[in-house]
Amino acid sequence: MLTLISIENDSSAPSSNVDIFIAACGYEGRARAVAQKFHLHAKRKIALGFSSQRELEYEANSRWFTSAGFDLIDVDDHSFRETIDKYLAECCLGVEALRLEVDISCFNRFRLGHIVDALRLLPNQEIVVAFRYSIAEFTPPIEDAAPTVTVEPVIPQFSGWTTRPDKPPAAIVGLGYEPNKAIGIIDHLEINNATWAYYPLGPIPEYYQRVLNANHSLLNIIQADGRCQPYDVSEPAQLFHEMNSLVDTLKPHFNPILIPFGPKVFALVALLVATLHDDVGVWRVSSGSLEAPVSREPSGHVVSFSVTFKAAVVNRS
Amino acid sequence: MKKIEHHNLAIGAEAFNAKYLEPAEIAHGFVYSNHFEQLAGDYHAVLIGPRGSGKTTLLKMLQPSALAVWKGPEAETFRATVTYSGVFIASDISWSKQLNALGYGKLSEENHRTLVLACFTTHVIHAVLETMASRANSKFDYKAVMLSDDQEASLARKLAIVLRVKPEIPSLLAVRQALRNRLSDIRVIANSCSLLSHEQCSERLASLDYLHLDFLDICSNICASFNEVVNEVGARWSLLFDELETAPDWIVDQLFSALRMSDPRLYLKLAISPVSGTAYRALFKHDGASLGHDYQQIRLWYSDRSDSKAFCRALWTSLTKKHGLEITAEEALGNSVFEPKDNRGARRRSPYSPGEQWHKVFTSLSRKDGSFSTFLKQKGIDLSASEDLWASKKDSVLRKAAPVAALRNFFLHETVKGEVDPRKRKTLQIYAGAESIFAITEGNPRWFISLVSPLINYLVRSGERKVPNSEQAKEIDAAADRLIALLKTIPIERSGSGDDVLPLDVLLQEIGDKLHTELVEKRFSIDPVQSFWVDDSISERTQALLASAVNRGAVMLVDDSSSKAIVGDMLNARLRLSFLLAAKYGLLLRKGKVVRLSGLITIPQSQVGKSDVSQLSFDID
Repeated sequence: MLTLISIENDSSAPSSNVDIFIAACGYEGRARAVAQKFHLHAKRKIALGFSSQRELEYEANSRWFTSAGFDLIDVDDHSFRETIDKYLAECCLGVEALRLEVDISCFNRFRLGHIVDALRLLPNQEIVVAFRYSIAEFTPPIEDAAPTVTVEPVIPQFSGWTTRPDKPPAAIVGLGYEPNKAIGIIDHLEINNATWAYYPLGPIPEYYQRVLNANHSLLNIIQADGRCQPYDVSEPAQLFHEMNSLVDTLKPHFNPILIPFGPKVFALVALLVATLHDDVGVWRVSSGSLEAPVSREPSGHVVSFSVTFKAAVVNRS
Repeated sequence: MKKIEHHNLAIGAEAFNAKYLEPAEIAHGFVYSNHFEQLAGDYHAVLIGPRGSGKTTLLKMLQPSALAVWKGPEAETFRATVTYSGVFIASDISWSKQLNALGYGKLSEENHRTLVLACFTTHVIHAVLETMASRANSKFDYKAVMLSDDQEASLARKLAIVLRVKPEIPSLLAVRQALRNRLSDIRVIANSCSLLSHEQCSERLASLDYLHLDFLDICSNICASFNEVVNEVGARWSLLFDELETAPDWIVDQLFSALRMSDPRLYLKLAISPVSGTAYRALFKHDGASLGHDYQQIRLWYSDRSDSKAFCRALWTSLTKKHGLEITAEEALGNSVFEPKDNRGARRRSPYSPGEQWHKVFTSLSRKDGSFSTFLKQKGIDLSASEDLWASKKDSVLRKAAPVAALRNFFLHETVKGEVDPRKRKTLQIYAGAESIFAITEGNPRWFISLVSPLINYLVRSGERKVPNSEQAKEIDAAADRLIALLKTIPIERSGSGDDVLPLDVLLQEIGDKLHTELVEKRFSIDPVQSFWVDDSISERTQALLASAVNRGAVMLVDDSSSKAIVGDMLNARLRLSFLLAAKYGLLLRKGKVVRLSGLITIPQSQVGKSDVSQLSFDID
């Protein structure tokens, strides 16, 4: 298994030498925003579509991906892992140091989990992945939220594995703007006030106050103890280091669980942190396809960061 | 950007969840109740209650390290009578999911079960060794043992043989470390097995003898070894299993079946939520354990509000003392409007007398509520007449009618033009007051601490002696919203056949709204419908959601029969909304009359026809 050895914020310039470009072809307006800007130099390009909710901008996105030379593969969540494994296996043969670009903007957390897990299991000696994320224009949360159908680790490979089940859990939560969603899952896991939370700051200011309002009850419990702090959506590398350090601090006392709501970039950083900590799980709360689709439009802001995985590095966990 | 304070890891002695507290912290904040005496005896016990009802606290208090430092007035008695060593065995949802994910879903059920059982066994043994170590290291008299280096080494060698571990040195600590390593090994085995065929995996697992230890047998064995080394031959131990609702069904089955025939050297104290099909089947099968003979059961919830008052008062005193306050709940929170009692000291006037609070409520309501006016007439009460003419009806009629009248008067709004409308519920102020707050928490310590702590903080912060009703209402509302947020996380099962059930939060709101409408807008009744029974028109998936609600304390079982502390399913169960949700939806804080559930909720069209539910009738049971 490859180990993450470095992470740094990247420039927004297109990379010159990319073996594979991976994107999601969904119903959001922003689904092709990153690809349009960064796909040109990639040797192979794949856009992974969905088997349901092909509405809103889906048709326009799929036409564009096809015209831009992407292999467009529509696949349901159940077959996603097999598809991505197969595609990566074809591409990585004979390449010692693989370079990839992944636009995470429209992948759900389940697929993000599988992408990170598939990447770290590649047989290459080294892979360098430029992750990119298109920040959406502000859209208010859906008032009539869909019911929950899944509350569990994002994928079994990110369940975490503790050798001290007698220790209580602690949550590290990325806050989103759906009212009381974070405190709901924290109470579900009976974690209560053993919670540390991050809320996003970024170039779209409307999100900020919405996130704080939506999590008022949780903040009342934890804020006084300094357990809630902002992170800059544009600086995922810094978030990674902070979260990793917090996990290290909590581990002697608790079994930490990462619960990413809010921007996808937080979910990706949580998964990357979990690759360094075998005993830390990453959870999701999902409404699946019951969630009403919303076309989130690109704001023009793209967050880029680069992650290097290498073989045979000492396990830090 | 400011960094999160990494050093601030203390969760605090007032943590809402006892799992975060060390035994000494638990003992320090322990508020005694009769439940503890019922649990502590020399027998197997089943501890039943929804989340937050205090199961973890009670079990943790039976650990030697908690009993040793407990300072309560009952402490000495318990130290004298609890002669066994309690071993607390934690569990939680996240660990359960980890076990579930072993082998990434690629193992056969049998192989997966073998590995999960090995993990569970390892965890239980580890907990026993923790208790042994804590007794050996104890600074207190109670249950302390002296273990010389040689004795410890001898014990560690014996344990290593029985447990099939190879500790680096012969010490209890090294054996525990070896057990932790075993958990790592099991995961590696699971991962590698996920690449093998089921048969190859089975063969591999069969060859590893340490995967096949029987945890009750092995615990009995190692406890005997310890007893022998410390000269306590025959001494008893007790395995305190917490949160068994998170354990796999077949482990629950094994433990509840073992109540009948387990080793006499070990007592089992099993904590579980009220609705468990597996526990129910294990207990009530023809050769199952017999209540009162093989085991005792302790029910931790209260079907009626009056039962929990004493515990709430004790908890209030404990919390206020910690903040340096000496103040009664009535002084700080005021009286509940639902409690028509005379608090006017020397005046000793009836609260129903002209000019008093309840007379005003009744008069106001009879002016805007024709059905109440009719009710009074039927009962022969004319509030405008001399009190002597209706004084005899005070207890038989007025006292009983008062809570309903108060609610209707609160919610029925008279406009300046004299029109009466049910007004929207913008505030929960009518639920302020000590007795109401007590009722709303259901005597559930976690809810009590969560709701009352901000109110006590208000007293501390403001220096005042009374928390305004508006502040109490705000906290009740916040607590209810938090419970609803929890309910929203309970997954609904999707059938794909178009007859998907309502999400739990929506279902309970529908019930609450319907009961509120009946209570406030329909004909006045002295004993309105406030609870419901689950009839066979309710789908199995809705019943499953209701079971989740009961286990989380959002819905309460109101069957007082002691044999029904654990129920197997929801069919025919009599339920009510928790008083926290009752307040949120504008209901009375009492169980009231019962109606069938299918009369309260909209049955999806796809299910209509399976039984006659087209008529939303109020068939009173």
